[in-house]
Amino acid sequence: MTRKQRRLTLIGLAGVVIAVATGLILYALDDKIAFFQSPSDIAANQIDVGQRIRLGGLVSMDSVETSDSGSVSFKVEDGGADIKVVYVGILPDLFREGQGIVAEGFVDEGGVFRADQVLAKHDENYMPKEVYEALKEQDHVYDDETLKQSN
Amino acid sequence: MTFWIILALLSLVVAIAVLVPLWRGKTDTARERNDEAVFKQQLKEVERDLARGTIDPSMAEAARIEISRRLLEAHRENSRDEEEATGSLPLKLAKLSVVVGLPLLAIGIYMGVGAPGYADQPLAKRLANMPDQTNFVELISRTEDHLRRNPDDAQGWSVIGPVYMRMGAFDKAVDAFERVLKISGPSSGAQMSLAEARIFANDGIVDASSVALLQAVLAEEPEQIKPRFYMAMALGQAGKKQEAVEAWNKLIAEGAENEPWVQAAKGERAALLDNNTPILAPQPPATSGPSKEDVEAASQMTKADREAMISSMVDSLAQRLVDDGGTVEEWSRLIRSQSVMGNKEAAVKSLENAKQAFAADAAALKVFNELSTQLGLAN
Amino acid sequence: MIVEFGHFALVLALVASLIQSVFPVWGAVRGDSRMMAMASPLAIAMFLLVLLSFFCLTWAYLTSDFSVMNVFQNSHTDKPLIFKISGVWGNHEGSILLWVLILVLFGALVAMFSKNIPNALKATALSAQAWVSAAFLAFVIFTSNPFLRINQPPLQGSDLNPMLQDIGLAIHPPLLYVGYVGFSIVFAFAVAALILGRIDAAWARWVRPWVLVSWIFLTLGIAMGSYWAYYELGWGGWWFWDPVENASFMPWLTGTALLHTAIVMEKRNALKVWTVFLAIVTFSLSLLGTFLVRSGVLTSVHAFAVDPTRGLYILTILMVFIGGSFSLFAWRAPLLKQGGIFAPVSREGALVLNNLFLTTATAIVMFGTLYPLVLEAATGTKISVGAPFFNLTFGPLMMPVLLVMPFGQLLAWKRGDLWAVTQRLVAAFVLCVIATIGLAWFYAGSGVLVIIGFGFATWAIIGSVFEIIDRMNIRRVGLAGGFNRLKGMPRTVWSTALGHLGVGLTALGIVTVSAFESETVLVMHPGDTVEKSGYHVTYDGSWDQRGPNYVERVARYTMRDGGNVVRVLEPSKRVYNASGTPMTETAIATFGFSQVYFAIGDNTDDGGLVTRLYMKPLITLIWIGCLIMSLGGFIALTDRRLRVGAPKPARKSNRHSQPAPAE
Repeated sequence: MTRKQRRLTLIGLAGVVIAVATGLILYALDDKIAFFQSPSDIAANQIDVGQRIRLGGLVSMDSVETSDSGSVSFKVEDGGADIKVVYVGILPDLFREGQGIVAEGFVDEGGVFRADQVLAKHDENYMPKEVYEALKEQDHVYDDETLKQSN
Repeated sequence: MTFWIILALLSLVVAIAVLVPLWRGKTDTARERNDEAVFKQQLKEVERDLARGTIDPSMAEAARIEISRRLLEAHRENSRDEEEATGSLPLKLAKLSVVVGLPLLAIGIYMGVGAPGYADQPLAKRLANMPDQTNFVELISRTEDHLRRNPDDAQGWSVIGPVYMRMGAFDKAVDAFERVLKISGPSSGAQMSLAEARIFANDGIVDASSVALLQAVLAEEPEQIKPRFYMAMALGQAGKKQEAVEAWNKLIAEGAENEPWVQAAKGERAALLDNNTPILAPQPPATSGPSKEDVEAASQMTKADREAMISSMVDSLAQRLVDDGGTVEEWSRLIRSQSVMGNKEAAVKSLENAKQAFAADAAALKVFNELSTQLGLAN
Repeated sequence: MIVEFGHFALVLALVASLIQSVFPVWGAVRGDSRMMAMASPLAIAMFLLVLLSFFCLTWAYLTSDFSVMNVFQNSHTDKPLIFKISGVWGNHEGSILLWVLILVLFGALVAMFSKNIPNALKATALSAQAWVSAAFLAFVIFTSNPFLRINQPPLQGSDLNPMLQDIGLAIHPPLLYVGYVGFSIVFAFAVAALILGRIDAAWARWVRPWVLVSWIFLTLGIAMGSYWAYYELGWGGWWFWDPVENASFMPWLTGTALLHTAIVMEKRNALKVWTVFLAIVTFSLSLLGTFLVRSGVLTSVHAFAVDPTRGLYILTILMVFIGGSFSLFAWRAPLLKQGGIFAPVSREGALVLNNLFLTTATAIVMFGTLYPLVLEAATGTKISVGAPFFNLTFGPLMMPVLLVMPFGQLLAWKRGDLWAVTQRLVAAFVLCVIATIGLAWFYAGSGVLVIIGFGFATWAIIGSVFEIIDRMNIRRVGLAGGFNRLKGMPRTVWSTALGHLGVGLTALGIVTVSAFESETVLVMHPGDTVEKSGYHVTYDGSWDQRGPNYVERVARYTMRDGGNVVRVLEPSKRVYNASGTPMTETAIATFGFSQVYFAIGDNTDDGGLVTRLYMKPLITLIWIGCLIMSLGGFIALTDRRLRVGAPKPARKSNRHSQPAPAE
């Protein structure tokens, strides 16, 4: 086999592998990524039942209920709308009412969000970026500028 | 001086280490070509392995041919090498950069970013330098422990609340005063404290719940200055400019010119009249509360930072009482706090300090003695 | 004044690195041996200065010197000694200082232990590395200075994030950094080769130990980080495809590829340009990882630094180094001489295949990591690319790697005989089928994916040790003869076999856990018993107790197997005093390679306790596999033996006794 043939074989093979990888990526992008949504987004747009989404917002006050089976339900709000979330499992250490969280899962037929993962902020100073921005859109977070203007 | 000498020595050592090879004469000018040596080494290894029987003769042969080919190749390549460069300007530059550039640049940058001569402040040493000082941090954490175990101790909460306020831990103070109110029912003192703590925790915004508390206080004691001061602020923040200005006018008319809160009230009134200035941080009428800067700093700090600020403020408070002295009330408050926190030893010590400070004042001594019996400090 | 000496030493190191950046490489290009000779003492001096500076900072932590901002922000007098020390690098400033310390350590090691490297190459490489050192020293001093002081020192610090108060964290970043940063030396050698326009087999021989060391530590660091997340975060997950994990995984993938091409280059003098390319890519990915973690562009479980100015600075460093080195590559690489040639079916060919899959996999991980960031910056759409994406794209790409691995081990250099190798592997294939059926039966799994997963994993495991068994050839020479052969076997055979065995074991662990793990979440009251995977777990009760700097609620569970107590576990939930942050401490019972994992949640009003139990079959194999991979790497490192890859004459037939040159 000449150097040229060898190179062509290699390029051909690389082409095949890259094509397969690209195909996989495109397929996975269609199916396996979760879009971030706030409760207002869900209220405003029709979300397909079963589509994976990430939900971010504040846990509503006095909305957390624990059942004996270990499942927890609570409401997540962003100032514009709220949605009921059901989660089976142990909530993160810093999960509290009034606190920002991100939940990953899907909306079921009854319009209830079934979470399979709940993330809370990891320390006192950190709020999930997505939640912060979503809340800011709903005027729930004031930065210094808005505070000054409102006075 | 020692400090600078050590810095200079450090730079010198580095400079010398680098200068030694520079000052050495030209050693061998021919470029070392170790790849040839590597291939020769490999050839030897093949021989050794063959002798040891770890590889087949046919394999060894193939390897030998391969290596020899590379050796020849390397040799051919190396013999083409160019001659050693001449000229010494770069060398001079190198020497100059080590002798002059290294120390000058290093000291220059360090002067910019460092704190030359600032001594270490290990905690153990600092504590040792504060004889007779009660460790306030420890006191507070002991009280917190005590309250964690006995969350219904209203007296404990009412003691630690003002401490939190003084330290700038307004959220904690809010919590403490809320508990006092919950446990021992409404009293105008606790309501006033809670309202003030809330206002501070909210960066000076008087919210609805604080207004309700203030109104409750005013219902009891309509003449008290503090609640009226904050009510006036609330009016201003609610945009009721006219009423706010009136309230300020009334307050200012009552106070003597030299009282600090009057100045603050005038400032607030001026801010109201000059509409563009936002009213964010109040100047409270408290006599020795945290300053405006402190409040602002505290509100921008993270919780952890705030806690650390606390300790430094408590520290300074303790220092102040010992160094500069204080009023009878201040000493009594300190002793009472220490006693309630369970640190009897410290309380006794403070009591002695206080008595010493007011040795000539019979009335004060009487107060202290009464306090001591009341708290069971006198054995 | 110890703190200030440390600060000055750091500044002095920066200036030294600036000198190092210029003169040795200048000397190398001019052929001035004295200027080149500056490189070694400068490299050693830089290391000693940064080490001094690091010790000074540690001293400040040990003595709780709260006049140092960094100590005040991250330490506390109550903190146990070990965490006072690990607190030094458990924060942004300190961790960058550690990064730089390891960087200059590698420079000093090259200066001290590379006696047989040509001066020009050594000087140029050390200069190239000093560019990196200078950039990062400046970064530390001007944007992340751990030596800044407070005028009015407070009496107490604000404590370290409790999540980071763990022995795993004390060890994890240094390991990971040795891996990350070690590749800077490889990068520096690659850049030096490009500048000097010369690269040969000897180059690969000098570089390979550094590749190996970095790779070993990166492997250990990743495994450690994974185990840390597993037991510390309390979710029972061991890999989250978190951007920060990906950041260390990408250089690992290309580093693994580099490890293999370096062998080809050293033994066969082939794939030179590709090796240089991989060296640059690997270190660029290390820099990218540092950028992702340190700039705060991510919101992730690991990110503990948020400051846009720093982000911008690192981004500039990143672009200058990646842009610069690739430009240099594009300009100089065509000048490098083409090396040895080989047939597609050969060990080289197999390694090229391995490289192809590894780099494609890297590209996929990079896409999944950066795509959400780019998309959000460009359109504002927020998406999360998580495990489902990576499982679907990364998984299938790894299967051919597992499949080809045993073949690659047995193929001859230069020109191999696929058919002969296949015949030799028939026995391995039979064993693999039996093992797969056995595993599927044991775990009662029948899904197609599970069978495929078991098949690939067992194939990799059996195939990797098969070479050794095959070489022992017990059938012909008997047991004693076989053992003699075992002793005489070259270390490369062992390192390859162990490295591949580790991959297979990790794969087996991943497949088994993913397919057969089970989770039970329930509220238990004292005295309640629940059955979990054949064990009876009783909740005995809970109580509160105090630790050095936290209070915790401890729950006790007793595990029984048919009436006999097999384990008593005490998971807990802590609240740290200084910060008031709660933390879950898990408890794990290990049975063989499998584990039962306990985490507790909140108390319910009626005295119950939310309890989470996981059965994690064969999960420890994931990390054991990584350890074995590292062991393989370590053996390769100790091997000073024959490093020349002559074409191997076929043993059984005589068809290839005369290796025909392919040129």
